[in-house]
Amino acid sequence: MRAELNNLEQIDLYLSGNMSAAQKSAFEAQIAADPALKSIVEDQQLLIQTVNRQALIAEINTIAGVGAAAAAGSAGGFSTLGWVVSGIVAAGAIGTAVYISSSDPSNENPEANELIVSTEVKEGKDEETIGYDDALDTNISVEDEEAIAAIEEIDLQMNPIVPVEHHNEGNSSNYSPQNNQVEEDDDSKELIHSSKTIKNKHKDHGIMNNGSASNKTNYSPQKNSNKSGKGTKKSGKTTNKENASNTFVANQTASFPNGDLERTNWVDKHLRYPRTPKDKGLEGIVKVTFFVNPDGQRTNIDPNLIRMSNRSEADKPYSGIQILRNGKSARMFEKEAARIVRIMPDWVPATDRYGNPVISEQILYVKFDIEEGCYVYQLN
Amino acid sequence: MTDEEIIREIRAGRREQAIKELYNEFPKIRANIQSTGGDEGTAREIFHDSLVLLIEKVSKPDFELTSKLTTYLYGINRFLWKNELRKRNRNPELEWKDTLILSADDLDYNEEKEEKIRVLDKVLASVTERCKKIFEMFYYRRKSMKEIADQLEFSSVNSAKTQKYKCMEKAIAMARELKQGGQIYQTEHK
Repeated sequence: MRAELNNLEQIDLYLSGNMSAAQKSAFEAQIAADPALKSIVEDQQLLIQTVNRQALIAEINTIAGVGAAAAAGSAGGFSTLGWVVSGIVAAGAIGTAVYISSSDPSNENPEANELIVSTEVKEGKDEETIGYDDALDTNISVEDEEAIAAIEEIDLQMNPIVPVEHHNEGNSSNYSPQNNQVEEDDDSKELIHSSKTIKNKHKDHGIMNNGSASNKTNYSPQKNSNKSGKGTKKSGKTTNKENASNTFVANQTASFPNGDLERTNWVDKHLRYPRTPKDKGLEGIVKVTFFVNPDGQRTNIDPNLIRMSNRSEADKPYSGIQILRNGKSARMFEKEAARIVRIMPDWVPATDRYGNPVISEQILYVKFDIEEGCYVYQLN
Repeated sequence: MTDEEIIREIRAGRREQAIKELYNEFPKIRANIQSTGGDEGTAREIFHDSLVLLIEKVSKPDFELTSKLTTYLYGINRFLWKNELRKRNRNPELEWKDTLILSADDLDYNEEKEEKIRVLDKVLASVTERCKKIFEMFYYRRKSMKEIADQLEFSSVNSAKTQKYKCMEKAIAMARELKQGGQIYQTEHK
């Protein structure tokens, strides 16, 4: 181990060009005499180049995003603005209905992906909470709920890792009765009897009980619904991100024209299941990251296969190496996902807080499923 | 910024200002690409790739600038766009002003290597986030192992070094398995 570590450091030093002339020629002689070493050096060199390239591309994209947004802001003018406003009005008319129905396909496919599962759970929890309150005839007014929501936001800031919903606290018995502690029972009684004290009560909790037992119980439903531990971590992060972005006034989400339902229909018509993976019974999910320009065009489309499995064992996702072995199918999935994003009609771009269209980064998940067909999800 | 300043910044690993400066050339290059059938998106992708190639090239210690840096940048863009057009089975004459005519050899550009890098992209996507972070900090941001150990909360510099070694070993093993796997896969299906 020690020797190998040394070796690696030597190679790093050599490749970075920081060796003295004497060291360099000695090392080159060593490489020439040892084919195994030579091939390690070559592999490492290429890998380092790839690392640098990925980081560089990320940096360029960031800079381009900022630069392009600024340019669009100044050059956009009124004509573009007018166009976008009318676009939003048209989309707004069916906005709400589409939003609800767009979550339906994901309900039919709970296995779709971890991120979606977590969103569902969150929604589900909210509904259950409301149901519980109604059943006990408590009079929690809209203002109180707003106050609670505001406090939750503070909680999130204080404890950014765990997406806790404190108004579930008193109801934790819904999820895991065995964890129901006496203290919490008291809380829930108070919650029911005097809605006026709720605000203070919750404030106290927000400050005091980060990481306490009730937090754990709140978190457990999410954990249970995600099969892998990794998924839990991921979904936690995403939920937080969503909450954070909701606090901005600007609309950071670009969208398919006329809403999600329209997108589903459009994708149904245009997406083709690539032949090679279909013949092999392979299914997959591709995460497509791309920019939506102020004019609605998509650029820098970057498809990445995040899950592949065989249809006969759909619950067993392939490992990284298995995916790599099916490289051709993986590439075909990615190509098709990129193509579908590329040929879409112009999107409604994101806007800054003045309503000007700006460039934005968006993510779509394209799911290839042989029996149930293909779906596209947008998570922003 | 003068050409020398841009090159100096890039070599020192301070790329941001340099990229911003070079990005000023994008509108002209976009116009050139759009006039021969490319759209906005393609133009941006090609321009970003050209920045990558330029920065890689400039970072090499033996690089010597023989023209204005922007002229060189135009040359790379022209090369990449021609390459793209060839893939689309089109080969129009590209008459760009103030550009160099560069060949693949001039740019150390070869498809075989690009393909290998595409494969390694996938390999990097399957190593852990922590490994990726170490690689990025060490090779791209050129942080010392001490800084990396501090920032990623390793117990010591040595344990960070060991982790980096393991990450590298794993990534190379994966790349090799893939190479072999690819061959097996091909022979199976002949």
